[in-house]
Amino acid sequence: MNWFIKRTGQAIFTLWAVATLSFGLIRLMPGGAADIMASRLQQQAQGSNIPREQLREMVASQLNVDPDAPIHEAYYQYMSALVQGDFGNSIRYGGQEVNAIIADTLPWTLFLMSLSTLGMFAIALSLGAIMAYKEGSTFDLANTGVGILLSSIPYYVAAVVFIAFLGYRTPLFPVRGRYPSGVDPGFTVEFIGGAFHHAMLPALSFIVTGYGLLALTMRGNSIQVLGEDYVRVARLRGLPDRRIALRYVGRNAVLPLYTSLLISIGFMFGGSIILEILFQYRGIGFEMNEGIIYRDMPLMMGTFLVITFGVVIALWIGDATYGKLDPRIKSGDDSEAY
Amino acid sequence: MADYDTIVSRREILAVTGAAGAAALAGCSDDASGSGGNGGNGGDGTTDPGEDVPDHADVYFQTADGEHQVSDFQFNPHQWGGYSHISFALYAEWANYIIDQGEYYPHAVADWEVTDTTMTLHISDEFTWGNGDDITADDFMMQLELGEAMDDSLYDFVDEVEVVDDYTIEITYPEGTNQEIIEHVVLDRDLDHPPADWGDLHEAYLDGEDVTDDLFGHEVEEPTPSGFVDLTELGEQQATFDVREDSPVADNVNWNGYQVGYRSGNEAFHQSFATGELDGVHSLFAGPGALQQFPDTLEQVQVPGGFGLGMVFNYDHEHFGEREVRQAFAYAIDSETAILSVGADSKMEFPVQGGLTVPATHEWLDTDEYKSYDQDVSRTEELLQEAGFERNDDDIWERDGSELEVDIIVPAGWSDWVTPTSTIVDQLSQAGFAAELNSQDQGVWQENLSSGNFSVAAYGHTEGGNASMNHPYFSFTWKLENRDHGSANFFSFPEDEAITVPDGDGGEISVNPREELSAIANTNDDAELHESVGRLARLFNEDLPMLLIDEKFEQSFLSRDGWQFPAQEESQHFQAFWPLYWLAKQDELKATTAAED
Amino acid sequence: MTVKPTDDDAVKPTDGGSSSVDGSRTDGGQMFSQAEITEVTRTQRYQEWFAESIAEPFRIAWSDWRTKVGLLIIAGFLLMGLVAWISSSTWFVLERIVLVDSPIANQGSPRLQPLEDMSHPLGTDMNGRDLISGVVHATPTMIQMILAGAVFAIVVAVIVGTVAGYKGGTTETVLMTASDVAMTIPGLPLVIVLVVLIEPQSPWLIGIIITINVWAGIARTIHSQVLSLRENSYVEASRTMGIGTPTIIQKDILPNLMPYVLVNFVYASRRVIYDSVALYFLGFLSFRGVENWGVMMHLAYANASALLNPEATYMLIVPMLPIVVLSFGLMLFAQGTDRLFSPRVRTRNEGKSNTDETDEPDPMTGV
Repeated sequence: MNWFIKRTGQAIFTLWAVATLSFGLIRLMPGGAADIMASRLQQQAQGSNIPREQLREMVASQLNVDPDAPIHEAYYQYMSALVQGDFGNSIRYGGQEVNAIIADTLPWTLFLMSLSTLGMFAIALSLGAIMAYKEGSTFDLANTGVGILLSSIPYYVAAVVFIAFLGYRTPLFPVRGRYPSGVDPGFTVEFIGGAFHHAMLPALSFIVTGYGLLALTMRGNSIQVLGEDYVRVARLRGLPDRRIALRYVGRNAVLPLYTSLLISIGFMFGGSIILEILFQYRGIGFEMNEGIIYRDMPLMMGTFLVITFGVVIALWIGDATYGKLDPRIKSGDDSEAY
Repeated sequence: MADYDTIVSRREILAVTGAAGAAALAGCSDDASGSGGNGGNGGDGTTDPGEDVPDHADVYFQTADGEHQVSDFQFNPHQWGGYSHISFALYAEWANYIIDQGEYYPHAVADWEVTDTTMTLHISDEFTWGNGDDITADDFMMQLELGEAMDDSLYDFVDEVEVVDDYTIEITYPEGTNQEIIEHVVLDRDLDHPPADWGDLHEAYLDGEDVTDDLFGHEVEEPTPSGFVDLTELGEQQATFDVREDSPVADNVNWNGYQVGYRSGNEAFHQSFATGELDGVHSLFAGPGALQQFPDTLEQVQVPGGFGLGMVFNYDHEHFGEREVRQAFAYAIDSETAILSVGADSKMEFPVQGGLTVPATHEWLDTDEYKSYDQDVSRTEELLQEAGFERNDDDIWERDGSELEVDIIVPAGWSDWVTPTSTIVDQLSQAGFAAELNSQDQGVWQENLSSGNFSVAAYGHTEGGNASMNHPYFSFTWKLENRDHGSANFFSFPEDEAITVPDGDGGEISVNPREELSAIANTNDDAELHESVGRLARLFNEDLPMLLIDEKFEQSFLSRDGWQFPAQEESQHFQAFWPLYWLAKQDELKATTAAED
Repeated sequence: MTVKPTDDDAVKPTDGGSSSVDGSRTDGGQMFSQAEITEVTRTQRYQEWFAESIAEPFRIAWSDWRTKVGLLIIAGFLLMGLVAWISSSTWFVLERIVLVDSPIANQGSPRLQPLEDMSHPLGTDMNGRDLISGVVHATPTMIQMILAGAVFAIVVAVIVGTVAGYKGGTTETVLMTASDVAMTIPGLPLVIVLVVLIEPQSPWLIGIIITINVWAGIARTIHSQVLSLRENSYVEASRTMGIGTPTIIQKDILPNLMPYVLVNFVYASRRVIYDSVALYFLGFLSFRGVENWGVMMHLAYANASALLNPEATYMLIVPMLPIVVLSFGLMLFAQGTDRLFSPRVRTRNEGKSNTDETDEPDPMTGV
């Protein structure tokens, strides 16, 4: 319990640190967020001659960081707004609340990530286990080679190749959007099927380039477990193979991968920015990019914070549950960054 | 919008049988009754033999927006991100500028007279707002007054605007004011301030409140159109705009309306056109690589945009503040090869560096009398040596220990700028400049322009999408007294000083840009106009505040697959912003039976 | 990732490979050095250090085919960098030597297909730049980025990890909390935000920004290593002999960390390659020439419609090749050296470990 409190404290501390960092970046960024945004607005206001100062004030009123208030006041305002879940208003989307934009896009990113994660682990675990059973066989060697090779391909390169060949040349999959246009969201076959169809290529980009290393780790774990005394004993006792595979090998080889699962969530959350841009998939990473392009600081930092919060919370949940899953680990004190 | 399966099959059909096959196939539907023409109100060239134009075709014209997500469409033209190009259908033009004619074509303003001191607008009595209200002179007046709240440049020229009766407005200005300029600042507008949405702010303004902030922030979620379509459904990925039956041009449109999707980036547009998902778009850069992939039925309309790439020099920079260095820069580059890399067929080269758009250059200047700055590296060497530079050990020009550095800032992602600029940078390097391309995020680029933090910047030599730029007054104002970046003149050009330049005949002339501009604005005398324009062009040509690289045609696209419109040389209306809407209003764009598949 | 208890006293500590040879070597070597530590000269110490922490592991690693291939690829890449550096150098001897031309516009006609014109075997881009020139001349800046990023990550990690592990107390708490915080922040979004706001131009700076929080995970691993090493008899012996902390860290602890440092260096490098290319490809980083393979990809994608147009696809494929090949080489190398610490228990804690660090995470997870 003591450990749990420590871990929770640390998660909260991390959230605070990231929020402070984002405040610092908005406030101190070279040129000033307000100035850059004012320049942008100036371009927009064609044919009118509004003084720059006035534009800057207007922009400042939209920012949730007051560029002119004393730093401690601005910080207090910013943090108290964040605590209340207020990320400010997006300028790129004409004053719409950043919250609303996040609420609309976050579920889609989560959907994409779950699909990628599940697919990747399903393939990696089964393949790794089979490779371990057939250690040294051609199957094992070939898959090791292919696994390493595919892991050497950046996921965005895979994405580009998929778009060109499975999206454009042979249009098997849509390369744009979250679900087919003209379909209304709801529990219908068209919508759900369409959503999966649209998520397929982005998810495959992660899976194809990510499963290899994971399968190799699973293979290594399985081989190690297979060599353990208790497995040998179980065999001598004449327990059925199936039971050995599931109860002994499976459990003990898979458990260590739990941390990898958490890490890959963090990784995919980050990588989703790139894939969502390439696939024009309107998730939270896509919106972060919009925030960047339009120098819309509330949108940019709001989405950044939510992505970070998501990862922190995922890791915290993982840590909290890890000890329960693996009784050998009493404290579960370590987790890894990627 | 077609789902992906239909796209596949349609594309395959096109590949096998060509467009005619697809049309024939579609013609199997029983709607192909061949009603013999298009309801009798056809202009010239609207019917081609072989394709039927029904009285009504149950289709939508498919287009897309590249900047605004459909679900975020809003209808305040002043907002941060601007609004979608469907505004050209939603809101009626006061009048539309026909670029190659150099004249406005009447629309909501049915007619106008311009005299020495007064411009009278006669407003059409046929237009209504989406809520059924008639559009009257008061609505026009309201729009101008809201413009006044935002320092609209109209008020730099006129004294008074007055409503005479329900359908007449009078605008008075000092005697001698250039009448062409008046036409530009008055007529180049859309009726996009419906009283239903803007009335309250307008009253607040008349009551003396400062409403500037509110005008920018004002939320208009539902349009109240003055044009020929209205928003009927705003989906997540597609917005549907149906034709308004009470619009005076509704009879010209034989299909349902427009559906607007979203494509992020040129790449997505290219793909959609290649697969036939879209029927047209107002403006899209498509280089040679993309054009190759488009179906033959997709027609490119080249609208001279007056817009294009220029290199603006910072007069505060230790090197580029000097005329010799700017000229040396000009002689070092060959804009023709630079243009080649982005597809020469959509770009025009400037005959001379005269400070005017290409069409205006031909109209106003004797091109033999001005320098064209064709590439001539030996001239570069002479000029730099005159300016005191020497080649150093790295073969870079150097003076007083400081290298001749050129760091050209260009907005990242503007591919038709980045590509030629990178060619230019390489040419400069070969001529001994320490040249670098610095592609920056658009916001940063703008911020660097406003704060004067650059030596040379890629910069539009006219304001994009603004028809009046073909007039020397606006073109020169943009180049010599640019107010677009907050400070009066972001590259520190001395706009209000007498500048002495060679007159081209061995002598010298002294030109004060601001005085000459004011002279242009205040005369209608042709000789005087030419005199002032000539002096400004001479100043520009010698002093070279900006180097003009290319002027692009806006590439507007329209599909003949299911759509019918005249050959481009047969109609003047292709030369106006933007064919996919303007042709429809002018009864020249029709859906055919082939569209109904 | 494997999580394996360190107090697994069934496994005799080894440096890897064949246990009998290594076991005796390390035992003897270590004991010898403990006894003679005050006598040996500096040179001897370095020789010994070299033999122990570089030559021997290298010999073991080299016996694996993956290491060989990996190293060959990495060497080829360095060679490419050298070629580019020589070609563009203006240093007096090298000024005239141009092995591969710098990529400039109109080297050849624009849009030459690969093999169409043998003076440009892989073709040219929209501006007529030779693609081979582009690929080769992007290598030096990539090497700079990798060096800056990986060295930064490793140095910070080693300092934080060893100091925290050795000092303990408040220092440890502060440093490890900082690592935990840094580790939890998802890397790529943070990097994107930073490059967008800072607009770095120098490859060194870009490399460092990319690995801005990569050090944290490595520091954590090193920290656990140091904790278990600290309890070792020979370290304790050094301490009781009154040898100062810096010397102990340098003499007893760092050599044992070398394999971790090496492998993490490789993973940090891969991270720098992936992320820098992505940042250029998607236009988050501004560029000045074709200084990165990502820039070439960006130009092909945005300006040449390479995805859509089969005739331009090669402009996208060519710069992708070095990324994949180099990354493959690094992966092979890392996989090959994996056996250096598998089983990774290099300590001899004779069943008396009393640290609360019961599990020891693998430092290597993809990116």
